[in-house]
Amino acid sequence: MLKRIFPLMLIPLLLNLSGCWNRIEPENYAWLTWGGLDSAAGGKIQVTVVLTPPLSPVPTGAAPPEKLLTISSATGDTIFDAVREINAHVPKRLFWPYLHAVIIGEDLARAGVEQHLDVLFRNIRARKNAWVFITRGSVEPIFKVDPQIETNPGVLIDSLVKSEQQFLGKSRVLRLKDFQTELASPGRDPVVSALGIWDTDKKQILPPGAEVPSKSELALDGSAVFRTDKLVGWLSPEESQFYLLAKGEMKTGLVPIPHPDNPQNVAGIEIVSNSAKFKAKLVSGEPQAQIKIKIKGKFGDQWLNAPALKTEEPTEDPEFYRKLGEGLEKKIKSGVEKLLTKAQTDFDADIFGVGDYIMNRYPNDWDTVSGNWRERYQKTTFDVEVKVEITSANIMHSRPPVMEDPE
Amino acid sequence: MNVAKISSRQFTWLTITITLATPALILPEIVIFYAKQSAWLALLLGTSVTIAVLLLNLALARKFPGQSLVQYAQYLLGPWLGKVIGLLYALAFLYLTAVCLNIMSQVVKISLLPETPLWTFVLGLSLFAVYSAWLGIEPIARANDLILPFNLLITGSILLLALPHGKLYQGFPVTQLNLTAILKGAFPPAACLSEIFFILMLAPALNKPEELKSATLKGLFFSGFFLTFVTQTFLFVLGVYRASIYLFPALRLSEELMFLDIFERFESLVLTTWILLNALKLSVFTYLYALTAAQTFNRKTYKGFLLPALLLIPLLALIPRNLAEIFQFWLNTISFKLVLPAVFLFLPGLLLIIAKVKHHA
Repeated sequence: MLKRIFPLMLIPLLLNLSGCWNRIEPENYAWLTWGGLDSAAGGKIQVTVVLTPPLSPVPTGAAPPEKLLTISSATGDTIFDAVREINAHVPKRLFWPYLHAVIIGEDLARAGVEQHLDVLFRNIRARKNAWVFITRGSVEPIFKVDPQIETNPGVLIDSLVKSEQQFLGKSRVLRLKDFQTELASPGRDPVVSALGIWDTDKKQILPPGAEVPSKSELALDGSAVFRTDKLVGWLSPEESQFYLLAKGEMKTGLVPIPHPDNPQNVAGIEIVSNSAKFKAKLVSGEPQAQIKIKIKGKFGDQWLNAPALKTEEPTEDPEFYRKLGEGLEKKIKSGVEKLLTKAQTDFDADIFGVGDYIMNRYPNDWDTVSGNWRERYQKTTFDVEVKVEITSANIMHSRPPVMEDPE
Repeated sequence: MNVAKISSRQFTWLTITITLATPALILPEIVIFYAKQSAWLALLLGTSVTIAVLLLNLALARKFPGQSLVQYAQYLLGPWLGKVIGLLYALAFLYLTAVCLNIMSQVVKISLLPETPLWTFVLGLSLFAVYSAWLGIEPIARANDLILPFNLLITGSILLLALPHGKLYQGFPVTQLNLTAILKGAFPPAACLSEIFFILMLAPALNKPEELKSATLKGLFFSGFFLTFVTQTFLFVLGVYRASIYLFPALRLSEELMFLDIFERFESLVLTTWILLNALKLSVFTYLYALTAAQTFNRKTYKGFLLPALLLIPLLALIPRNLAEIFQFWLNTISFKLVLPAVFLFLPGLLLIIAKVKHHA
């Protein structure tokens, strides 16, 4: 008897299979693609969100909704409070797992961000792979941009970051999870990409506080440097390039150097791959760091203003390649060293994570210096070593052949 | 009592499932919190402590081949004291089932289905556990043959996929050791792996009793090394801070894992494997609870004790209302410091001493 009743009792288990308890229909969602954070009056936080209606990942034949970008904002004591406040006028459930970018305004960043970002780290729904950006000035103008080339805001940020990584290499884009790691470590200060607006008509990055023109695009504009969790300064695109090279994070990019044949000319080196090794240790209480950068590059282009050397033989000159490499080595070495000095004196920010490395590799040593790490960091000696290998000159000879004079 | 038989390979795989099930998700965070880069050392230390105590248990089991602990406890201590020990073991199994069930339900609720009430998981899973216990150990072992390799494959491949995202210096073993931290970090793994004490009750089910030692040790070695691999991977990929601030670093790692820039959020997959392993553990422990109770009261069949379990397990599992209670009080204090040392170290040790004395007398 029991044997027959018992399987019947398993029938309630079937209820679990339907999975209907937390059921939410897609049309009840509003996808949250960007979140902008800025400080508001009275110590409050203003949260601006870009909402998109749910889009089908596959072509359905139906025309996509005309307006992909809806902007809402609200203020609250914490970010979560403000996000909940948004629901006062947005009659949809905000859907966080598609969060693509967290954009932080300068005011908030200067006051310190770590305590505010807690909800983004703590909440299971918020996507930790979202990109983090800092804006110069208020975060508001970013949301007034009407992008032309890529209208879907989620795709826009992702393709902006991808093109940065694949072609530009002049801004340090960082995911939320890595931002969290770098904020938390006492021996490391984050460097975060800075987001600006490109004025299409005036052909320049819009200065902070200016009116957003009708024709504009989002643009990456160097990087922001933090000290602990407070913004202290900015790196220009070129400085960001040196930073990325020294971190080994640059995928590709172009670095112009003086032409080896005639310094008045310019040779552009296209960086194909880049890796870097970082090591730090304490030597009798003083931190010493070593950065070894390895670069593979191609001779990308040249700008021959002054008369250039021509070749009489149809050969490639190994000496020329070596000189190209040396020129790049010299430029990167001096650039990285300048950047390090600036980080140590101007920003007092441990942007390469010397302390973090020591903390992870030599925990007992770290305990002895963690109390006054900042002072020690300023005395850190860096040893930068750059090795460049030029692989080819693309599909042309590096030097033009000597042509017969027509006269 | 007629006990179903399982092969020694199935026995090994069951030990792996049970020792790996709950710790895989909740243990790495605690170990990393204490031992940081030396987490692997703490884990290996904890595993070796457990192996040492396990050898004591095996020595006891070898003296009475083909008998379970309750049976020889009654022989060694007399029927009444033996019955008390049997009852203690039955209650321990019941308690550990309830704790595991509560942790499972809370983890699923926190990370996957936040709006579903707890009792749905608890009731569904206890029905599942009691039903599979009703069928006996042999079907459970066969289900385990099917589930465990797939689960290990999925977990292993996700960890390997995540490895390239890691930074080497974050998880590399260091030469500067902090011994107190390592000792602190070694206690939770030792306590978690102590759940292997169930072999004392399951030993008669083995079809070749002489292989008990090798089968058990193989299982425990594998679990220890697998946990070490898992923990060290978390360190590589997440770093000390994130691996120790999040409650379930396995879910964090699998959620953030990006594969080919398209696939993301593998946490449901990892959670599914974890739930499957834990469901098997629940089944085995429920079965062993009923078996222990039946042998204590000299019943012919254990199935009569399963119906009270259907009531007792959900009731017990619904008592801890939040994560702090279950982790701090039920698991850390009672389970780790009272129940597991008693059933894994003190009682078997006592029985072994008495057995030796009786043997000589």
